[in-house]
Amino acid sequence: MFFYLLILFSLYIFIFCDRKSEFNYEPVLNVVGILRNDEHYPIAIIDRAYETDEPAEYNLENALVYISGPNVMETLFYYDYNNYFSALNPINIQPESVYHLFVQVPGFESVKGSTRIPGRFQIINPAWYDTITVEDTLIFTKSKGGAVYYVLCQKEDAGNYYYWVYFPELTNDTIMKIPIIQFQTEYIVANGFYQFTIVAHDSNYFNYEFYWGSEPPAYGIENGIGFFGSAWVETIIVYVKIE
Amino acid sequence: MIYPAEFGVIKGFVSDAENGEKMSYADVVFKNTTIGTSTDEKGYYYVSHILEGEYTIVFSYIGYESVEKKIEIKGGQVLTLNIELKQSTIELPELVVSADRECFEKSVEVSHITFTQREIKSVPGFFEADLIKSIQLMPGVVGMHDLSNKLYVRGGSPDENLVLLDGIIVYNPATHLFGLFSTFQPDAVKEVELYAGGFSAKYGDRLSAVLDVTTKEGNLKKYEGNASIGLITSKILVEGPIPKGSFLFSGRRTYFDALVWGYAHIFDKNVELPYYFYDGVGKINYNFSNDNKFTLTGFGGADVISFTEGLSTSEEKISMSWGNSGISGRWRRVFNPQIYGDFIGVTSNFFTHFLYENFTDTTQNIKLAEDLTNLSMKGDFTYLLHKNHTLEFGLQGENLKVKQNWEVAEGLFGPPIQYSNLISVYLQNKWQLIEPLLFIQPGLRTVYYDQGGRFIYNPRLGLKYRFGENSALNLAIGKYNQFLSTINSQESYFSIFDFWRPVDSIHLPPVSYHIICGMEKWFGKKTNFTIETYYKKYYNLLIPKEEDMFFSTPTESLGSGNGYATGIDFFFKKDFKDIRGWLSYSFAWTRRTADNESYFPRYDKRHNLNITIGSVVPTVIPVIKGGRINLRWYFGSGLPYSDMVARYQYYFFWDAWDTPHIWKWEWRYVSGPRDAYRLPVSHRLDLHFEKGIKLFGLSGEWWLDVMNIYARKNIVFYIYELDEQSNQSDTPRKVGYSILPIPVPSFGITLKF
Repeated sequence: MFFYLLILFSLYIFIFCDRKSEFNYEPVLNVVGILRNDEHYPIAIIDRAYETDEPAEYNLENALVYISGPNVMETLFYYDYNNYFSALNPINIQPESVYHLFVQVPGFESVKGSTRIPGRFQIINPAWYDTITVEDTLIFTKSKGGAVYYVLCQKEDAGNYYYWVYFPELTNDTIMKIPIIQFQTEYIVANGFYQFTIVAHDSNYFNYEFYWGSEPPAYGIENGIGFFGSAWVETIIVYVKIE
Repeated sequence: MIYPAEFGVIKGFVSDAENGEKMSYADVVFKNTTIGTSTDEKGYYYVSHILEGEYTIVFSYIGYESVEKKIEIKGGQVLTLNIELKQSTIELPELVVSADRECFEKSVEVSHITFTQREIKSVPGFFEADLIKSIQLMPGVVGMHDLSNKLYVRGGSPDENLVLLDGIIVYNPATHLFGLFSTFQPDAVKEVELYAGGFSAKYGDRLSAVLDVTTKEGNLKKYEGNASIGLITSKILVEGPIPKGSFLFSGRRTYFDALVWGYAHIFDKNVELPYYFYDGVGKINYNFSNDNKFTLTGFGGADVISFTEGLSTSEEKISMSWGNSGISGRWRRVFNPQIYGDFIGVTSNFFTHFLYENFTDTTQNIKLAEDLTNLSMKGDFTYLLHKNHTLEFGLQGENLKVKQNWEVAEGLFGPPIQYSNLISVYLQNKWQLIEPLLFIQPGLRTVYYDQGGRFIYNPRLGLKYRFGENSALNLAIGKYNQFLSTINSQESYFSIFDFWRPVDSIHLPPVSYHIICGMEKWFGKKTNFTIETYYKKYYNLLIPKEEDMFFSTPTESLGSGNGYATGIDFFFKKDFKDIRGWLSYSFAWTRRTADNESYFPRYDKRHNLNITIGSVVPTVIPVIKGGRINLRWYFGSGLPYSDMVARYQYYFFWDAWDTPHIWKWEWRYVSGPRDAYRLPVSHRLDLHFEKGIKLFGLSGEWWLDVMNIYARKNIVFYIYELDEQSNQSDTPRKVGYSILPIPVPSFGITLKF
């Protein structure tokens, strides 16, 4: 009797104490959208997560997507193979206002998104078409709600450009000061007109862009993954003289 | 101490006549009387209350020739008699079993396994024998993959093990070659003791296990040494007498870098392998008198990477080095026949340095450094109250300092140095309550920890009940605390070293409770079987968070968790003529809870089986006849891992150099529940062969190791991959990777001089 009990116990140990986990993943929608004051026909990408053994099919053309906000209720339509949706009518966003995104796809939980547009800001120095040197400094007021700034530098008529990323929390000032010389080594190598574009992104974009966690990111998005963010953009063109 | 006028006392040490090494558990018997005792772990014996008269004492140890001495005991006097025993013709491996048997009869240690140098070197190794890989063959000990050199003991992570080398704490014992080699050189090791749990009050500050490595004393009789050449390392060991003592030195270095350098110069190739490691152990023993002995031990080793290739200019250099070092000074004094003490001063260090040098612009230079330094002083006393009753007590003061900084042109920066101090006092009583049936060993360790001003009490109890001559039941119960923790995950498959931090005043020190029950059964003098079951409960575990790992305090980088580990360990060891081997099997179950998530940690191996068998090659086989062959087969159930259950496209708004304002994406994967999946079972067969050799008039041996003889591909991790020609929308393939997918042979030669 003892012998049989021992065999049964051993079998129990070998078979049941080492059993594998059963876990089924429920795919969710993967939604990415951004509103910018310099992009009047915003794009939203409506995708979904896939199980690892499932091919990606990109078949969400029938998604219902719309953006709402102050004086805005705009439906976005499917226009590209990669689940890109775009507005047919221009959308002019208002700084510091809240905009919502709504996505409905049969078979998935509806996704809601919201973003507060970063506040308008002002470039204090230099002024439009000033002549400056690389020793000068780009100065602008901080945007309310601006979580990260991209400062892009592009030579007039050039096909490429250069940019740096700045974090507002590194200074307690109400203004940001960017030395032009930072662009010299890599980009500003000749006299000419250069366009500086300052993009103030909201925290949804910032958190998504700088996310390194193991869980899928979801910022400004409910019931799905991805992000719904916004940016306020200001531009200036100046003549840079290399000394 | 005053002794009654009609009684006398005898004391002394028993040592090996060949090299002067002290012998534990040797028998000391007064012929034709009932008087007798045995030496303790340090080879010391003491018998009191002997009536005046003439006696014949027999000193014996299995495998050695007995020595009989006629003595005269005089009332009120202490006779000192040091004895040396000569090895008999019995082969050395049998002594190991005998030592285990002596330990069975005379000690209370539960979950205690002793390894000798011979056993370590007989285990097949990866390019060379390795102490930690030998320990991994023991029940309850798990390695995470084929080449892992970390010890996961009974559900405990490697940072829960106290690793000592002659009393020096070794914080990162498996640092060499990115964790593939341990820092111990088997040639210099005399004995290794593993306490897999339930260890006595003498040891503290760790939650799970103790690995106590003792180096050889150095030959007191003659100068000798050996030199070894292997595929990637060379070693040398020299030892011999000095006036009133002995010395030993052992050193090792890899030379792949030198070989590649030589190849590059001869064939004018632009190749380099800028990596090497080295280590060394040195020891000096000095006997001031029969009752005073001083031992100085130093050890050190480091891994070094240094390269210039691949950097943007030839005027740049990147160097990285990390390593252990330590020095201990031990004074052993026999105060009187009943009391002796060990006074030890120790410093140990672990460093990691990173250096970027720009020779044309030194303002660009960056130096990152982390240094951990431990200073401790302790006194251990042994009071031989009676032959069945030994009191051990001690006091220890310890200071730990962790310093991190980075040095750039602007100056030296870094967080404040982290300090901690602790004072420990312990008392334990080895008592053979009913001779020879019942041993008990109660103990208490009390600790004052300055971070938070905590007094902590760790009671311990060991018990052995012998029924019959060859059987015993064991029990151990204890509470264990730990006052430092690592801030890197202990579940990584590959980690070069650990970053340690003292537990701060915010966190409670981690604590574990052990309960271990077991049975030991001997079949004669050479075969034994042990079964032990254990339950270990953890509280206040400090579990690393992902963020703020390096330059951070424990408050920032560690979360709190609990857990438990339970299991059964079997161990069967047998000698039969020329064949010797052992079988160990563990069934283990480990669970941890952190951040409200309960999971099986990645080292939770449900079944772990090791079979090791060694034999002299029969004379009928030519060439290798007379050699010794050892085979090791391993089987383990799959380890937990976190599988990917889904994938999604991570889109990012790309402001690239020449293509502004476009969306790009990459596949990212969604992990399922933490460590909820199991890798396939793993198994492997390894071989070690050694044979004596005569070369240049020197004797020695050559050896051959082959790991993974039948090329088993033991999966360690998976990666999801898309074939190059496949569309991005296709299903990715789940590809398993193995550390050691092919047989790896290695060989070497050792010559003695």
